[in-house]
Amino acid sequence: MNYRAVNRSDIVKNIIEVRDFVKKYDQFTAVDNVSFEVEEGSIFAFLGPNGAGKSTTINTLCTIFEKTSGTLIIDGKDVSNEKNAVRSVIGVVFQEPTLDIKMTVVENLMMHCHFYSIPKNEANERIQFVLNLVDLLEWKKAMVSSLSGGMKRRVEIARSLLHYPKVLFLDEPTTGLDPQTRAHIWDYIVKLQKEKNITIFLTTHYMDEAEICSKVAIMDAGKIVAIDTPYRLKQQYTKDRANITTVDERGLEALLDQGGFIYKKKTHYYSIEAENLPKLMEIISEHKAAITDLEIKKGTLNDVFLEITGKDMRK
Amino acid sequence: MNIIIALWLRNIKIFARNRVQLIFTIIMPFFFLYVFSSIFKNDNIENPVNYMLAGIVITTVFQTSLTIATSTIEDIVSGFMKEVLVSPVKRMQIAAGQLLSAATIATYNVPRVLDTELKK
Repeated sequence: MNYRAVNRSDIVKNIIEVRDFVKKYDQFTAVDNVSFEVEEGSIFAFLGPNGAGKSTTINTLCTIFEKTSGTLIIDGKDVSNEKNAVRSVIGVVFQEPTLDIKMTVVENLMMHCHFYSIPKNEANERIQFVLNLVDLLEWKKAMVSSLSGGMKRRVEIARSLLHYPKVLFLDEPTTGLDPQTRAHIWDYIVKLQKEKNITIFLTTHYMDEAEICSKVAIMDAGKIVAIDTPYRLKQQYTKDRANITTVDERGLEALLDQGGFIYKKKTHYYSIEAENLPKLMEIISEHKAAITDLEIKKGTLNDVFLEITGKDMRK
Repeated sequence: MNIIIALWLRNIKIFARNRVQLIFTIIMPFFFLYVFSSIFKNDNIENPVNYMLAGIVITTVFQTSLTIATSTIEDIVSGFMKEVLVSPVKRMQIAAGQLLSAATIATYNVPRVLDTELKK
C-alpha cells in the first residue's frame, strides 16, 4: 500500500497544499494548525459541523481572507503573495449568493467573462453551453431578482464554470436545491472532473455527496480530525449493524449473550454489532421462528461523522 | 480597460433601469430651484435663478454621484462584490469603474439642469 502511494505521488501532483494554516479572528482561533493536500483531478470534501472552520479555510484559499500564519499553495502559486495568479485558476461558488441581482442572467455571465478576459465570441458560446447545462436557457433574459432560489444557485454554478478553472471551490453548493437539480449538478461535476481534470474542493452537509468524493476530511473546532477515502473512513469508524425484531426477546438475548455479541435494546428491536457475521447468521437461523423483521445495515459516512465529532450534523 | 468599461456600463444600466431613482434625480434639481427662488425673491432681485444656478449645479452633481456611490455599498451587501474580489481584476480597475460611472451620471445631469434653467 505504501509502495503504491509513493508511486502515485510521482505521477499525480498536489494542486492544493496547505501547511500549518492558522486563522485567528482577534482572540478566537477559527482554524488551528491545519495541514492537508489535494491531488490534481480529485474531488475533495470538507465535512464538519457548523462553525468548524470549513468556510474560513475556503475563503482563505480563495484569497478573500488573509491567513494568520502557515503556507497555502494552489497550482504552485502562493495564495498570499500571488493573489491574481491564484484567482485566475480558481472558480468559486460561495455559501451565500453573490449574483448581481439587478442584472439579467446573461449580463451576469457576460460580466464574469469580462473579469476573466474571455474573448467576446468565445464568451457567447460558453454562456450558451453553461446555461444549457443547468437548464436555464429560456431564462437567460430574466432578471436575477425574479428567479427562484434554486435557479439562482444554478446560475452561480454555471458562472463559476465559465472560465474553465483548474480548481473549483464549492461551499455547500447544493444546499436548497431539489433532488433532481442536485443529481443533475452532481452528474455534471463528476463529468467535469473526469473530462477536464478539474479539481473540486467542496464542503457539504449531504453525506451521499461526500460518498462519491475521492477524499474526505472531517473538521471539528478548527482542526482536521480525520482525513481519508470515504471507504476507509467507514471501515475504520463504523461497524455493520443488524436490527432484529423478535417476539421471543428473552430467547434472542440468551443466544446473543452466548455468542458474545454486543447489542442494544431499542424501542421495538435489537441493534447488534455484526462483526462476526457467520456466527450471527447461525443465531438468526436458530431463532428464525420468532423473528418478525431483520435488517442488516452498512456503516455510512453519517455514522463516521457522528462517531468522530460526537455532534449531529444538522444542528 | 475592458473591465473598467464593463463595470462602467453595468452601473449606467442599473441607474437607467431604476425608475424611482431616475425620476428622483430628475425632480430634485427643480425642487431646489422652486424652493430657493421663492425664498430669495425680493424687490432687488428679479430673477434669482442667475444667482442660484451655480449652487444648484453643484448640488445636483454631489447628490447624483453620492447616490451612485451608494450602489457600491449595495454591491457589498448583496454579495456581488465578493464575486468581483475573487476574480483576477485589479482593485484599481474596480475603483475606476465605479468612480467613472458615478462621474458620468453626475455630468449627464448637469447640462439637463442648465438647459431647462437657462431657458427661464
